[in-house]
Amino acid sequence: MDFKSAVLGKYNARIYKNRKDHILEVKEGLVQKIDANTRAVPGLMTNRGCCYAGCKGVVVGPLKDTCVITHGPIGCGFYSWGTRRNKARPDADGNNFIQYCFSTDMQEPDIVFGGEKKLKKAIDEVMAIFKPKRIMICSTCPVGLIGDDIHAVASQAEKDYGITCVAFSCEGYKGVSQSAGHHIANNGLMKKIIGTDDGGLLGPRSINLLGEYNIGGDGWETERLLKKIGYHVVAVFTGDGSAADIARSHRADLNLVQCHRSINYVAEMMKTAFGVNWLKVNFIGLSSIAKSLRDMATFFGDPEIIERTEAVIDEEVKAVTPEMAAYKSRLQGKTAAIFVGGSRSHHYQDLLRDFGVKTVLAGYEFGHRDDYEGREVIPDIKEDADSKNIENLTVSPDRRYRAFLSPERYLELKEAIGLEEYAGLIRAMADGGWVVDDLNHFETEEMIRLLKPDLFFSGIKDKFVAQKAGVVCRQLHSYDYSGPYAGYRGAANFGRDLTMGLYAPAWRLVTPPWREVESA
Amino acid sequence: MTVSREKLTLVNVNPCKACFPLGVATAFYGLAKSLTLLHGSQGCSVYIRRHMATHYDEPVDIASTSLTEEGTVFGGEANLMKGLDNLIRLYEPEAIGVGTTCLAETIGEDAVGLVKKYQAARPNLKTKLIAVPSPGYGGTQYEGWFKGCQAVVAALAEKTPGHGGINVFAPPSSPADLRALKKLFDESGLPYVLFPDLSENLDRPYNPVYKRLPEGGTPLAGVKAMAGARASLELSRFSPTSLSPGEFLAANFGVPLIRLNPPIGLRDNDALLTTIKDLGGRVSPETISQRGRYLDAMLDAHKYNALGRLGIFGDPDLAYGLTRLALENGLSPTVVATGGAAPTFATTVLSEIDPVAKAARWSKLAAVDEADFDLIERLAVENEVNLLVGSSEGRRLAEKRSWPLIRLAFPVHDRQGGGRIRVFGFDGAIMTLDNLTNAIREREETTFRSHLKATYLRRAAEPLADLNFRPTQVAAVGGTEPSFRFNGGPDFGDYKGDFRDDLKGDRPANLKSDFKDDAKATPVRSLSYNSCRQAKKDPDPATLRPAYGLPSLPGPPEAHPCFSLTAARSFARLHLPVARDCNLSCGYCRRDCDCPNESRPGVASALLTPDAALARFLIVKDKLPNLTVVGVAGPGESLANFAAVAETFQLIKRYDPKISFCLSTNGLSLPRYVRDIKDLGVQSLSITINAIDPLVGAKIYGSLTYLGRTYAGVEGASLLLANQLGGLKMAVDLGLLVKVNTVILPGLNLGQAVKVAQEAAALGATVGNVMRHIPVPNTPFGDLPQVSQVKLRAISWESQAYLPQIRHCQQCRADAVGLLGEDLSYLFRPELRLRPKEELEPTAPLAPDGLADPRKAPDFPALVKVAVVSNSGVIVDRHFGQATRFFVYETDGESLRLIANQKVDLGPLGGHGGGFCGLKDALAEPKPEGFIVRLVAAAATCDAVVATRFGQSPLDKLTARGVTAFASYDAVDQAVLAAAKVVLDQRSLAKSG
Repeated sequence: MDFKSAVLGKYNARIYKNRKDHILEVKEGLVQKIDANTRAVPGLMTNRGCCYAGCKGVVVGPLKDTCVITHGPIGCGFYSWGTRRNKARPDADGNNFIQYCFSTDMQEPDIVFGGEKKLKKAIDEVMAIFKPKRIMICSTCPVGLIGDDIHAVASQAEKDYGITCVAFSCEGYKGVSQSAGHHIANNGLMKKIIGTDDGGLLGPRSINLLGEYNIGGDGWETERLLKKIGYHVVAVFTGDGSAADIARSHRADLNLVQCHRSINYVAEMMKTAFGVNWLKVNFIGLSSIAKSLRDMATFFGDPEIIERTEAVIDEEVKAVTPEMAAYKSRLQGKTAAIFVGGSRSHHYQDLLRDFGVKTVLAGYEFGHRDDYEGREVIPDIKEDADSKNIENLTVSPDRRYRAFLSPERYLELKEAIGLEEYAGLIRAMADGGWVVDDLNHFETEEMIRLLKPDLFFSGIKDKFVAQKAGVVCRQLHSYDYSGPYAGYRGAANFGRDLTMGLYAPAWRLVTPPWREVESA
Repeated sequence: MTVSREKLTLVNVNPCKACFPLGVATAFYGLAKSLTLLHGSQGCSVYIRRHMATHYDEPVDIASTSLTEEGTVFGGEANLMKGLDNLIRLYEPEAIGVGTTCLAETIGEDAVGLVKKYQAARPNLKTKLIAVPSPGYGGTQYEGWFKGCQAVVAALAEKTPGHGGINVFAPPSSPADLRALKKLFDESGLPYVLFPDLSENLDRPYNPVYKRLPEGGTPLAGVKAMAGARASLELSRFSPTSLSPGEFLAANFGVPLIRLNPPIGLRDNDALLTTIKDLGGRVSPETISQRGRYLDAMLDAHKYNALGRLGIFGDPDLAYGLTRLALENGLSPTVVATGGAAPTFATTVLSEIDPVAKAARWSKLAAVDEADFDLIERLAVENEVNLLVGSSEGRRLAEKRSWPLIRLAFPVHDRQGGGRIRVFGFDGAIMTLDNLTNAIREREETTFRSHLKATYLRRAAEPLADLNFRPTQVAAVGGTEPSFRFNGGPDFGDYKGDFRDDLKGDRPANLKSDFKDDAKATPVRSLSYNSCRQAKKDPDPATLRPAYGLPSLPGPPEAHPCFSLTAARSFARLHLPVARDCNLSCGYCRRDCDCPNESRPGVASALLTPDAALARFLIVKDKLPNLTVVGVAGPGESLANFAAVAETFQLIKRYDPKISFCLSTNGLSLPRYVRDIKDLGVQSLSITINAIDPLVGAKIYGSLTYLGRTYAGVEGASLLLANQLGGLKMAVDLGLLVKVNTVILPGLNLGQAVKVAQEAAALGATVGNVMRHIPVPNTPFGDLPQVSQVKLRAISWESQAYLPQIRHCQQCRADAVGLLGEDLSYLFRPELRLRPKEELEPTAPLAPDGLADPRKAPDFPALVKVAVVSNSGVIVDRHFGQATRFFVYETDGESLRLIANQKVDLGPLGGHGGGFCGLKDALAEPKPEGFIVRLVAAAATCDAVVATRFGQSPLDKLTARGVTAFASYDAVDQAVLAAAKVVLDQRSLAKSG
């Protein structure tokens, strides 16, 4: 029995039918299709979160200059408070609101009689205590159902206080996963923040870093590299990010997209509206970093920057080579399974390859087909009932802004460095690897049993099953209190953490002496 | 002592509670071979799994019906049915707890009805289904726990023949605590059923084969038999009757309910053991030994515990139990909080603390429910907490305030071992007590050296580890004394002035008599005065320096004229008058910006903008290459104009990175800016602290403005003092050199100077400086006579015992330039052209032609002779005691003529070391003995003498000889005319009289 039948064998016919199209074995040279971004099967213990988690937890939560108020009962705010290990320095005004959790703490009477008044009062209090320049409101499940008009409250707050107040209707039940929340957050940023600040000059070679949430300091390591070469990082979406920076990000020359899933909407809309080209990059793994940096240098076409890029790559690689080699000698030949959100399952394969680790299974929690198969499938993706409910914001070109590239140069470069393109995860994998979408708890156990990977990368919810079965785990959502893993220094950190995990004495001691005697 | 139940805000800032379904799901985890399905958005189960998994370090399986938007419109029935199907098929559990969520409840899903329907359609279903409505807004995880327990009991318990068993219901507790509880009951020999039993399911032993269903936990049959038990024990003080499983069994099956506190601490463990005995059970010898060990631990820890002031937060039962444990160990739980609504919580907790607090005379405490961390922080600061006990969500507060946090409550995200937290039983009590006491000891052990150093060694080279912790010993009592603590002030600890002693030392403000006493007060108490005199005789400057109190300091003070006498001889300083505003009104001060010649703090000829200040710096630096220090000393308060100061320093630094910066401040805003000051590159500060006792301060200061509010009286003075001392400490910790100035006001703060020196030395100040106030007309202390020089010196030497003193202070202008005592500021004023000094020396009458017209002379027989003490000859710029020559003018009151530039014969050198007015005593050449008599004699040839200031003794002597003394800072010609006018008026008065 092959892997697929073994894993799905216990399902009844209906679930089997549903799940079989979410699993595939990579066959090189074949165009393969996978089912993704569809509803999770009830009762199967999916690892997916909700729309609110995608909007508040992922995209707008890390904005340090913004008070994000969770409008709803206490749980949602509490659970999304500081759990993603986003790091941030205080902004120019000394604010760092990501340490805070603001909740309207709705009670039963608020559900019955409506919570708008409480929300309004909460805004008044937040203004009185913290005096932020921006407030964002994120809805939880009951809000949309009881009909609280958070957008009206937001407009009123803007009038009353002269601030920017953005409301996100990101009720947990919308869409099929966090992904819906990303989209809603992207729309909100586009409507209310991006393009609102035309003041001040940007430096030459200005770029934005999109889809970098600065988990464990990833964004800082990436920024260090970019600045070292001579780029001016205008805004980061949204790790250590500020809405003030995002407001002027539309004038940058180029958008870099790290996490494609969570931020590609903004990248696309900024291209249409402001002519900012975007480039899919990956700052995880040595070869990917070098490729990303070289693509950027090509984009700007400045001989000085091209030279500087090579010099920096050379210097940085040299600095980490001895350490990387030491780890590689202990990791070579191991196998890994990666199951993370929407991009890392792809990105980390590059880094694992640097250590000679083969990825035998990879999958996304909430990726779409384009994240697996490449952006060219987007026109073929059928809109279903769930995706129809998420607003598809259309923007029109703003004639005041000009693209960095001439139309001819654009065509030339689009071909050369793949502007506005993303090839997806499947093409990055070797023949015979498995791709599983929306891996659930049950399948995780089966998969570990059958594929026996040496390393399992996932999140806190599913890591313990593997860990207690003797498979080394690293949380790739929050890095288990470690990081950064991005950039050159991050690569070495990652190697260190894997080696530390694989060679921990505990693994050798788990079999008691009497068992050893028995088996011998 | 108040019970604070008011919900202070509507927005929950940093919640101290999770939601209802989390409690329900946790309770379900205590049932053997069962699973939980949450009906709603998948986010709910994922978030809850995530939080439980990080706390317990175990896999947590909670399924979701994954409702989508479609479900909100058409109902979630289909999803619920599918979810149950899949769970049963894949996992084959014995029971499934079906909880709901905000979403399901808001759209009106009838989970109970739907589950019944599901069961009805499947008569052969082996899996027991337990539905419980559990919206997130239904309460906290604490209430959810009991709701889950009750639902399981209600669903499973069946009428059973009576048996001898006991039902045991625990409040939310760690698996390890539940294991301890089970051990206790196992040893008792009583048949019992504990529910929920998390002991194995959320803290499993290592097993490479993952069991999809929790193997441990209370068997379903056990819960089923609960209805026939002899009694139920519910170890919770606060479980609401409507949610309590024990109450349910009592009401429906008549099982007697015994409610006990959770077994935390000696008394509640004793209560549980007594109950077990009453029910016929045994208590093992091991438990008795453990009890003895706990008592032993209590005795061993008693000598540290009184220092602990706890802020406890968590579920009501845990917080209450820990409060009782703390109280029996002499720890002071000053803030006890729970996040959810618990109406009886605050009163119950306070009734525990009250008797103890009364006996120990501490009044600062608060107990509160519905608290978020914002409120907990506020209460903890108000009530002087120094140790937190609760969940890891308190870590932000702990980090911010540098309080240790003992993690004993759910959730713990930043430490290992959430599942192994121990508080139950005697051994749990021992572990908890050790944790708490050790946190206190750790701080004592790591801070006592620096504390002692700061208290007993002169200049602490290293910063104090934690000022906040040190004075707590003092503050733990209190209650009846007035407290000088302000919310707006800095949080620098528990400083408390010993003002009552001080009051005895100071006479009431009867200025006249006080002054007379003062004048007579020649005997000097301090021995150090004599040693000073001896040291002065030694001509070797190397041995002179220690006598002047400055330890040899490396770096800036060597080049700072105000900190070092040596530096004062050779290095110049520049005061830039960029600070316009002031935030404090001192009784002796009047800020003047239009008085060109007066020389005292608070005076500048014109305010400068930062740009103009830079310009002046560049001009002065060009002329005075020995310029080493640029300072801001007014005319207002440097920190009330921080933006201007910062800009000025930044501009100057760009041109001369070597220059050292200095600030003079009243200290009010120091804590706020001290880090910025340091960042600007300021190396030294002068803080003027005139009183340690707020009651005295209240007499010296009018009102002050701080963070937009105006304070006055004792309140204001306390705030000022708190900020001065706090700021001083912070400045020292940041490595700044601090000089502490004290203005002596006779009858007001004579006793304070030494106390200021003591405090300042303890906090690490570098040097002190006592000075006389300069009576300025039209100020509250304008008529207050100055303290005598002798008395001033006595104070200075007395202070020297604690803090090295400088004695060469010149009480400079806010725009002073040059060496101390040689103010060249007039050369750099915009209205005067920069000229070489000699050009300004008068060689001829300065007055315009015609004024000294000889033809008119005979018409003016009543001429007045005025002697002027001046260095420049242009303006009156010297103190009478500094005079070496007089410019003698003759005037009729309208025109004037210089008739002599007369050198005064001061007599042979030697004798009295200091200038008698104290101005140049340290700087000047040694003055001849009795020179003041000679000065007075020389001046007595004139009708009037004009100088910037006069000492009291020469003043008396001059008056006695019929010479009018006239203090002025004006231009010489104007001062002479004004003085002449006074003399002429006196004459005409005398004639007519």
